[in-house]
Amino acid sequence: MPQLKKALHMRTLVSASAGIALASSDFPALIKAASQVGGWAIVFVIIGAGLVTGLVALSFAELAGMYPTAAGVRVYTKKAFGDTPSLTITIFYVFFSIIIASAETYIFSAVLHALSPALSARLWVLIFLIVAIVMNILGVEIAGALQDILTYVMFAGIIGLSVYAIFSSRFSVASVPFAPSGIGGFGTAVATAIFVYTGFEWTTPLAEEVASGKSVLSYSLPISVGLLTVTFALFAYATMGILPLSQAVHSPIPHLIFGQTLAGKTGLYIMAGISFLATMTSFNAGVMGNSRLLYALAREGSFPKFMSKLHPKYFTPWIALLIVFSIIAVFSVTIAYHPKAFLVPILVAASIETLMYAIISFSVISLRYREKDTARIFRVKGGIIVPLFTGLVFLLLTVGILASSSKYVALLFVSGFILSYLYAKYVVPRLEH
Amino acid sequence: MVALETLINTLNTFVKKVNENMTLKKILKGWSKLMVVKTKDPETVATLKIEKGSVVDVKLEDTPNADITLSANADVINDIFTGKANPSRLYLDGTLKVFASQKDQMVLDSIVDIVWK
Repeated sequence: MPQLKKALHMRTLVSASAGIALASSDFPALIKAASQVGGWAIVFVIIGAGLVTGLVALSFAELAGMYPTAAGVRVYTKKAFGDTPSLTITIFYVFFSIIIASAETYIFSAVLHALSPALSARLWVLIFLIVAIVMNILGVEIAGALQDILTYVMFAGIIGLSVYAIFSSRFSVASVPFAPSGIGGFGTAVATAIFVYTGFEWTTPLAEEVASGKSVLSYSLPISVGLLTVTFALFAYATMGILPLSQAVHSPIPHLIFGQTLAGKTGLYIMAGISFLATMTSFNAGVMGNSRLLYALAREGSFPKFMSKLHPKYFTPWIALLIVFSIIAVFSVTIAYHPKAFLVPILVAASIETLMYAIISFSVISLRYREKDTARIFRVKGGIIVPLFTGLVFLLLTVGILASSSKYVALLFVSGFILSYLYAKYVVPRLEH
Repeated sequence: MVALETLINTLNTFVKKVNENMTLKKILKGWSKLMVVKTKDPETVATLKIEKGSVVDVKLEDTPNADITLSANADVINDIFTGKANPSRLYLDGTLKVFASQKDQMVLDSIVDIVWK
């Protein structure tokens, strides 16, 4: 008799959510946010970003409890706004995931290049992607218990090293200003810092694996946001007291510089190890989830049918995976040829993510009226005040990132959105017929 | 509304089709699961015991913590198991709820795809 499956525990759900969010690209994003606020007010920036992300986590919790599905964004927005807007948003979300994966690929390749400079970052990009694609086609996934251990080791490593740094003789924030860029810089920095939470919501598909005790999933999301906030606030504060911002802001690997400055080669290797775990726990989950979403959209008829081919042995959507990986390869190799532009994909992803969070908040409001009789395991208290406030804040943050970043960020954002809309409006109806 | 008898007949026909399909037998040879199908209107529940890709037992009873749980209205489940409806579309609609690991969802989807090809 097959073994009965056990319901997922809170510990596993928190580790999955926080583990997906913690990626190697979070470190340069964090330092970019620190440079935008200009001082150790970065700690309050992260707390601010954590608070608003915590509010959107409540919206995700309500929606995941209503519709436990791997295709979360597609279902929520279709129910809330109708088919074409939903498809536009979903395709834009796929574009966003590819941008993040490209940034992560480049940053982790830069880590490998720092450890082994004989091979260029470009070559490391290709090696990393080949290994990742083989793993994905074989369907290799980190098992729940191992994922738990790796994630908590990673968080303990960052928190431990940060506390060690804060109590070390090298640490000094006496000469570091508080927030020289003022309130404007603070707002932009909060928007950029949202990037470090990216992906925490990707555990909503696990609602499908939590057939019993579903409310556990709803409460795990704000807890993982809290864990990320504490970890990043400590790390940012430690970095401000150990490194001059000017030394870290132009590097794709500020966490390695931090480790090396703090503890020499040992610190370098510890941070490289943490980076490896961070990429492992986030990249695969992102790419795998993304390719499965593409597969489901192809099965639905919104993408060409050939993209719904499954590998006959491993049951992985290998055509969708190859397409996703090809686009990631183009983006990440392009970054590797223009290393100074490594922040562009991070800022594009941050702007799309803030927009998505606004849309999710507005979805909650819409569904309160459209689907008022649908059962909710969890309900955000206070009527529509919290989702309305959260949606408006995230819309402002999206505008803030686009207005304060280079023109390439706005160009990629706008072109990605327009192409998604045109595809949903004109291509999908033809495919369906 | 689909009658309970129709639903049971549909399920049995589908099970027969799965068990007779040689392609499925070949690709699912290592796949052993407990699957629960729950419907509303009328409320029914069935547990399918799958061993090495063949459905070896169907019981009209619930199994807590099964590997896979499908849940939808009876007419939706009936349309899926008779090949009239695209389960992916219903799933993306939120009409069909599937509680299972990601891999098992893919396997289920390919079973439906192969049976109704």
